Amino acid sequence: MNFSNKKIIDNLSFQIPEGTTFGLLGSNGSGKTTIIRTLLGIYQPTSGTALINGKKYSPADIEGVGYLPEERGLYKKEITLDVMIFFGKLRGLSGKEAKKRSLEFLEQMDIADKAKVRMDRLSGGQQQKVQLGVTLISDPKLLILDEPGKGFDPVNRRILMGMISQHQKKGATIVLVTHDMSEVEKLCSQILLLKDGKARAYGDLVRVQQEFGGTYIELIYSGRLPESDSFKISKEFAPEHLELQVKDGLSPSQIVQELTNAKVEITLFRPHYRNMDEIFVEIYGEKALKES
Amino acid sequence: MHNFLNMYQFEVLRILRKKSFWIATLAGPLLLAVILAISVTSANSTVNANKNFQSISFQYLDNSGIINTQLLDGFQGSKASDEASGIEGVRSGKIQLFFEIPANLTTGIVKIYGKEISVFNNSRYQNFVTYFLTQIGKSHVDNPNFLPILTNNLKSQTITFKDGKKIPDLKEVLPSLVFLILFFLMVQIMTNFALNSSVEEKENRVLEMLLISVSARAYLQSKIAALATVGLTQILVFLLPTIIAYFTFRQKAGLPDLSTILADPSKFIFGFAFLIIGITMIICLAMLLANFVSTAKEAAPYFSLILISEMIPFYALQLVLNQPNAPLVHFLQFFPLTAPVTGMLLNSFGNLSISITLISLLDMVLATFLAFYATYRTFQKNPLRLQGSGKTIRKIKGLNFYLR
Repeated sequence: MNFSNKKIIDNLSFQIPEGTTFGLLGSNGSGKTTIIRTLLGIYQPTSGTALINGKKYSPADIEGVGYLPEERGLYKKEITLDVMIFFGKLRGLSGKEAKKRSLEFLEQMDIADKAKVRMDRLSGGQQQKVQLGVTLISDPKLLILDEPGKGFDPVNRRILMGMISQHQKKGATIVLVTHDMSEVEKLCSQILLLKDGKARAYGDLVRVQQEFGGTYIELIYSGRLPESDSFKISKEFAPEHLELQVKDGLSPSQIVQELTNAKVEITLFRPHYRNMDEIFVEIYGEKALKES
Repeated sequence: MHNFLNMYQFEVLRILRKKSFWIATLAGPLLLAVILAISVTSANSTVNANKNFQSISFQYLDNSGIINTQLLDGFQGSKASDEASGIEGVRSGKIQLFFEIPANLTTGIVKIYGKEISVFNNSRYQNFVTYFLTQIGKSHVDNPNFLPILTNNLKSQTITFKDGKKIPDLKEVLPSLVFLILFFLMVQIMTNFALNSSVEEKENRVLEMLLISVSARAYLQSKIAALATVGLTQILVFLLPTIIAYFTFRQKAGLPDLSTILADPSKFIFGFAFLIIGITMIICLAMLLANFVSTAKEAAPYFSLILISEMIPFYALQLVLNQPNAPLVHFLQFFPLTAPVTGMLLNSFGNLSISITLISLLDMVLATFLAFYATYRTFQKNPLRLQGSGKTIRKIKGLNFYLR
């Protein structure tokens, strides 16, 4: 994907399985929004294709899509309810149904009194809620959320996460763009991490975590740790409270076996993987993390 | 189709709900009402100020036999030997006015020839003739031939001369100039809506949300259809009160009898064609411009250039009206941006041949089609062009990239 001869996306290929929540990750300018716009048919790729169920499509063919762009804004001078009904109708609802769902959503978001108010008279957070309502109004099967939590306070963020979970349970496919790695770990089963338009990490979340730094074990013990090539100490929290990095290809159960054989008394044995924050930092470096 | 209609409906209502639309649209009829009020007042005052008429030197030809020489006392008038000498007297400037009364006032037309006073005062001759005949009619109330005079239904046609040349009567030119007034009114309002609504949707990121449900073609078509509907609304809002006012105040304001003008409807048909095609072309250009800018503010100077080019024919007005075959006038007539105004001016003053009109209209249709095609292709290629990128139109190297 090129813009004015500048390569924005470079030789990228990925799949989003139906019903999964797919994290599209990367620093600012890494090409996430360009990918979304290409998926939605807003941009035409310079080469390559985007397929749904193996078939080419145009934006008008995609039914049941909800898209929340990163930078928000709706018709500022129009009445809130009118805007919601308009988008509901565009997504295939009847005027009556669109009105019903809009009012229900506004009620749920505790801004029912703003239904007849002009958009530019709402606060930033209220506008965000309306835009989210516009995105979800048709109960989409494919939900593309670009930084959905942006601009929400912690309470509303929790409500938002609840809504995403509801759609997950209904079997919707969700593409989530976020810089909040804890959200990724909570919600996503698949990820694509981009840097400079290229895929740097892609696939099942746990597999990616294993690939980037393998398996770690938090260990509280008594006794003497054996000399071993199977693991190395990566952190010392306190005396006899360590983090071990397991050698690639070995499983935690093999380490337990080895420690037991060496008569080490184990109080806590908790295998874990590197978190997405650390993987992100490894790929981008500290500077990029601060930026994001 | 479903979403085309949704987009269309939303866009039409969005514009019609704006106060600014109604203020700008009603400004035209209000202005006409003011002009009409002035006309009524001045017509009344002119008729009443009969003393001024006594200074007009005139000749007449009476085919009905209603004028006797005693009536000429107090006026500087005399009978002309024939129609040709009367007209020649006015053309040469020897007399101010010549009029010919038809044999039957009920069915015939009073022909009035006058020496030009000024564009806005030439109606004085018609008022004089009306006044003069009314004085006669007062003593013949029982004669049915005087009925049109006494009931203010006298049909007349005025021709004015300046420096030996016939000049058009403003009242005859005005009806077809209404298209020109409408053109500028609509250019201002509709192109602003076309530009602002497109740029607003880009600026506010609404476009991205629209384009997942509406194709680029349906989006552009719905915008143009909505603007056309708004334009027709504007024409109706402008014309309906104007037509009602015309029939209500025609006699009081001394407005011309349109039945004589409507005998040649081509002026109206061509005027309407220049208006509609011209507006559509400029809307398409406004939408093309909207594709290349990030904000309405950024678009303003570039759009001003289009509007200024619409004004160019007025800077060459003398040439356009007096030398319609001059090469510069032909250039203005065939250059798409200046063609609508030049065409409407020439058409109003009767200086436009059918062949030139058709070529000019075809030229504008072609330019409109090209503008729409370029808008569609550039929009399809990248509907969010330059959005939020901080780039300006100056950084665009050319259209080639987008049209490939």
